[in-house]
Amino acid sequence: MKFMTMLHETHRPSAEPPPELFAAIGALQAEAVADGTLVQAGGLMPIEHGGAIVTLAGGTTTTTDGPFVEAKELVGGYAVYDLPDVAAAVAASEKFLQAHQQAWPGWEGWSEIRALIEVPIG
Amino acid sequence: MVPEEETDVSQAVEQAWRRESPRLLGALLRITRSVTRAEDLAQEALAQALESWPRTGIPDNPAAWLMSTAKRRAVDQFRAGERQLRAYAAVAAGTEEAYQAEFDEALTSEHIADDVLRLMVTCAHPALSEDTRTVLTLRLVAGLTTREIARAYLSSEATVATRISRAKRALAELGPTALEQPAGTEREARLSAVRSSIYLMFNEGYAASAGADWTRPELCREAVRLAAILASVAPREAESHALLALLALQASRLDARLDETGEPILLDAQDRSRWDRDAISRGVAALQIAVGLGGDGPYLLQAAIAAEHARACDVDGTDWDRIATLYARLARATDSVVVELNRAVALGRARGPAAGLAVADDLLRAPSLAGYHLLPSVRGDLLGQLGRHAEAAAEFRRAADLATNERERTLLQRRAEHAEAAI
Repeated sequence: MKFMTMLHETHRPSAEPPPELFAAIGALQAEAVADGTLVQAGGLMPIEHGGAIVTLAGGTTTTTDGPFVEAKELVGGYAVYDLPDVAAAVAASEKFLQAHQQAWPGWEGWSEIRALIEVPIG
Repeated sequence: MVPEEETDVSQAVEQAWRRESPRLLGALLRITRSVTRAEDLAQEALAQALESWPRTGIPDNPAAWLMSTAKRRAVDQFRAGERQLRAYAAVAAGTEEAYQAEFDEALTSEHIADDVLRLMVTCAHPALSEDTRTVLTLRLVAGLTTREIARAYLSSEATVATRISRAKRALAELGPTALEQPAGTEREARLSAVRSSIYLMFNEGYAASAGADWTRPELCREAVRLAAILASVAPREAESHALLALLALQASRLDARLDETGEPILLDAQDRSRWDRDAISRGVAALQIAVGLGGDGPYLLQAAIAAEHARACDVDGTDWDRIATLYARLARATDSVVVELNRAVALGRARGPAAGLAVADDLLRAPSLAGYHLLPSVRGDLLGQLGRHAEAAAEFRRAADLATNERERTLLQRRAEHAEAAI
């Protein structure tokens, strides 16, 4: 079963993440590649590097470059895992957040997990 | 015929084995202080798994199951030949109880990364030849059978078996100190040897140096997996993540490099919709880690080049200037004439064929490229673009004569014929 995890950041203690965080996340990411459970991974650029909101309301679409949803709901990155059940996806997210806790003290945020719809064919 | 269900089970057993094998062997190596003894115990545990799991199903914790099976066997052996075994296990476990306790504590998280890393650097010991390191890594870390390794390298099982047993003997003769985790500059050197062994393995799979098939994808897949294992157990090394990035990005093109008949398709002509976008995303994610760790080594530069290709929608949309710049940095970092040849190709794209040819012509004086088929192949391509078709044809003929892979030779001969037709 495929799960998408999205990392939301509510507090970053410094502008740039420390190298320790890259090592800690890299270890988890590489482990998931070795086990064949990581399908996809990607990071999102901060909004000042480009982004927009397109809204349909009252029959017309409008595009704005902000204000974005509240900063506390910003998604910094996502991953898609192939795992047996949601409990395994929760465990993977816990490890990911613990890596942040240890390598970047003071960081706060949350990980949203959603199962992907897979259409059975044949 | 084997019933489908049974095939599924044996495949699942094989997958579980390959996943657990490095952790099991790494722990057994630490406890027994002998590659031979560790492998014997692991093999016996595997034999029992192959016998039991199809009946009982794969246990919830296969690693713990394998470890306790190995422990039972090891304890039997300990009782049978205590004195001899104390010599093997001399450092930590003098008594049966201590020996047993080592097995019980073997798979705690504090040990796993160290154990797997120790296993990997042992396989890359300087006392072993480069080819042997690769074979031993496939056997002990990737968990491949002798037969699978022989198939991957178009070698006989007997040859591979001999090579493995010689390697184990060579390590045994060096004594238990050879199995210790190296520190300082020795550690750097050994990690670098592990990476280059994985890199060679991938390259052999990506463009097979001999035989009828141009690629051997299973070898590439194992190399990607090994690079991922290395990055997970030594995560502070930027170059390990960079190697994983490079191999994942290259592997994304495996399917697109062959047509239906198994003929090679070069980068320009590849159908980019057949590139594996998932693999590209994993490669880019690993590259991001390597950059975040402050890396700027040769694997990182190569991965950055591969990422440039991966993000371009076609050849014309490729940032060849940036690729030529990255090749120039790589040439300085590695002092490699092969890299310089690649720079000639990129420069030919960025600034026109004459600029590329000027760099390629300089390489005619490099002795190490004298028998290398890609130099005349690149010159043939650039000469053809300049309308110098007779010279191009001669270069493609020379390249075909030097190529050792049959598929590649056919491709080069065809290019020579095209060039002749254009004269």
